[in-house]
Amino acid sequence: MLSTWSLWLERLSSSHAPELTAGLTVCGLVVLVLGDHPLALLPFLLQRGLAIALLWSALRTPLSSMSGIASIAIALLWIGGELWAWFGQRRTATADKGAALPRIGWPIRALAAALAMLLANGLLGVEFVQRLPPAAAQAAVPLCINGLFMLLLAESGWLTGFGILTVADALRVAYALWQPDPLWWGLWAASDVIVALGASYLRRFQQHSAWPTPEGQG
Amino acid sequence: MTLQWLILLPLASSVLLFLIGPRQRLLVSLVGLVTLLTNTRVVQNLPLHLTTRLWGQQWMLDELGQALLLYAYAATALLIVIAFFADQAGGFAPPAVAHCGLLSAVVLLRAAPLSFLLYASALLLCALTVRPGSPEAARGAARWLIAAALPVMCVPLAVALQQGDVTLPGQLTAADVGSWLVWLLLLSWWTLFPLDGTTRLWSKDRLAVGALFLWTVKDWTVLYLWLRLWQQYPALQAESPMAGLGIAGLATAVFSGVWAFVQSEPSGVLACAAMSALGIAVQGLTAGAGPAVQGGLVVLATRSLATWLSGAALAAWPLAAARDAASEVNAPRWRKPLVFGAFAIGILALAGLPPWGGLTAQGQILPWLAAEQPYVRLAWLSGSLGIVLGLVRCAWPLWHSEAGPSADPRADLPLLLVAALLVLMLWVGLQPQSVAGWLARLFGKLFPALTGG
Repeated sequence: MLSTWSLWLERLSSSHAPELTAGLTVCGLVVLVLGDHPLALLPFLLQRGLAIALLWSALRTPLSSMSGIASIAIALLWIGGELWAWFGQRRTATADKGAALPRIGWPIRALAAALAMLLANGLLGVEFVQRLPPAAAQAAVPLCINGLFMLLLAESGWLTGFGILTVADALRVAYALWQPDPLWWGLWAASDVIVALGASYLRRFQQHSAWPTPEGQG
Repeated sequence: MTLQWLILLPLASSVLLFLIGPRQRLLVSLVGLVTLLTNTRVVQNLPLHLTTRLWGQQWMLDELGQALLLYAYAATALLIVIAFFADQAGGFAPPAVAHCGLLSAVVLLRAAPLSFLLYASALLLCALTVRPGSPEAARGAARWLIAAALPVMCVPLAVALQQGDVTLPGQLTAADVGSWLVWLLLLSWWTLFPLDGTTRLWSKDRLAVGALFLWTVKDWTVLYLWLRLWQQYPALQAESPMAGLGIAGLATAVFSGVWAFVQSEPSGVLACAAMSALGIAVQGLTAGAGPAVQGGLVVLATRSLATWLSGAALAAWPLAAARDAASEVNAPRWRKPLVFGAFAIGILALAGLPPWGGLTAQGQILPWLAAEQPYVRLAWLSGSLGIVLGLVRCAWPLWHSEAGPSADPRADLPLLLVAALLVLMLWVGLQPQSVAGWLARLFGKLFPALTGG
């Protein structure tokens, strides 16, 4: 079963690399527009999945597996955190989440996403970037720019986590070009999980501090 | 077996502490302290300079590594006690103890790039020490995640550039790029200007023991790792990144110091003062001369002690105020003056005021800086002035803060800790040379790495 998946992913990464790269960019832009909305988790997880699929044929099996396991752990942590927060919110039914955080509106986020796309396009024309293999450059540069924009617009631990992991994915694509060390790769994947843990903790923390306490409601 | 023990015991203990839960603060503190005590005994019994192969890596303990581990365990234990009095032990102890486990691995590992990568994980865990309840603290912790995570691959990349045959555009060499990558990591992990507000946000509203931990444990560890990297890869040492680090240090010293003036809470003033002192220490460490490095180390040591003293005083303040409020009308009310005096002495020491070693150490650093002396002195003075004014500004509301009376004699326990730290601080003020001599003995072998000798 696993070998079938592995073969399928290998074929996908070699034959559909342009589509995967385009998917990565689009997912990053969607995350940027959605910002702190819980639905941003879906395009982000899809983006990570696409990054793993893109790197599948370039990496040896243990490295791809490590990335896959780390991504599953991140997904579980964040989905679990969101469910926990959702149930917590139901318990304190009158919570006004809209007042929880100062939010940058979606039109500004959409403008930022457009600017990110322009910047990434410009960077791809720089001589130093053009020395990289085109497929790697086309995947890493938009990821890096999107990640930095996420960090710039981050108002909470949630988008900060997305931004850090997106930039890390961009660096990982570049690092994959140089025969990566499995130990470093594994530790890096573990760091990603800790970032996700921290971001999830901060998200719950911010929601907790924003929700009215039962005494406050009474 | 002892090696694994040193790493795995704190990690297992932190999981246990997390499962016990934050409400059982006495149990959490006790388990944390016992873990650290056990680790201390193990480190003391571990043979020095004996290379062991384990999990595919080489592990060894040297004198400086042993000193760092013992210091980190003792400092963490002290901070757990402060966290207990500040009612933060439940949230603080699990990540701090886990940090100690990872730190053991970082110090014992011989491969410096791997140590950096592993330490990034330990630093990321520190974001979990933030206490729920303050949106500012969450913002600070989110920024800390960025500062700790983004430069994670800087050192492995710098080393790979050194070792690989990589061609770079223009006049750049692999060593240049590598040294700037190390610069970026140091700037981020020390949270120098413009990241110096990161931990200030943690403690803007109230005392944050997690921030005290970063100032007194993390900063020494980053220094240790940096020295080790330079010992193993001298080519990564370049003049311009060090000058850049010195400038960031100066900016941190001035901006953080002046920023102290606008803080409304004593914990905010403490945060600004601690960052300002770090800026001066970094200037000394990057000046490239033995006396300046020694001065930087003295500033860093005084900073740690002063931070603990002021932190312990802030943790003890509500209890001292409650005890004084419960005392009889004609009875002397000595607790509040003692605790306030301890807090003020800690802040003044951080501001580099005499008699503490700060001023002498600044005098050691000053002649070796590239910038014009009177201007640097003026910049440092403006920082110190901001800290002193910040202290004066927060003194009145702190003194008049209300507390419900408490006749429980156990509320006097934090005063013992404050008094012990105060005596130590006064001793350091009277014997500045002893601290300098002790640091020179410990770091003496590494001075050539810092001075390019």
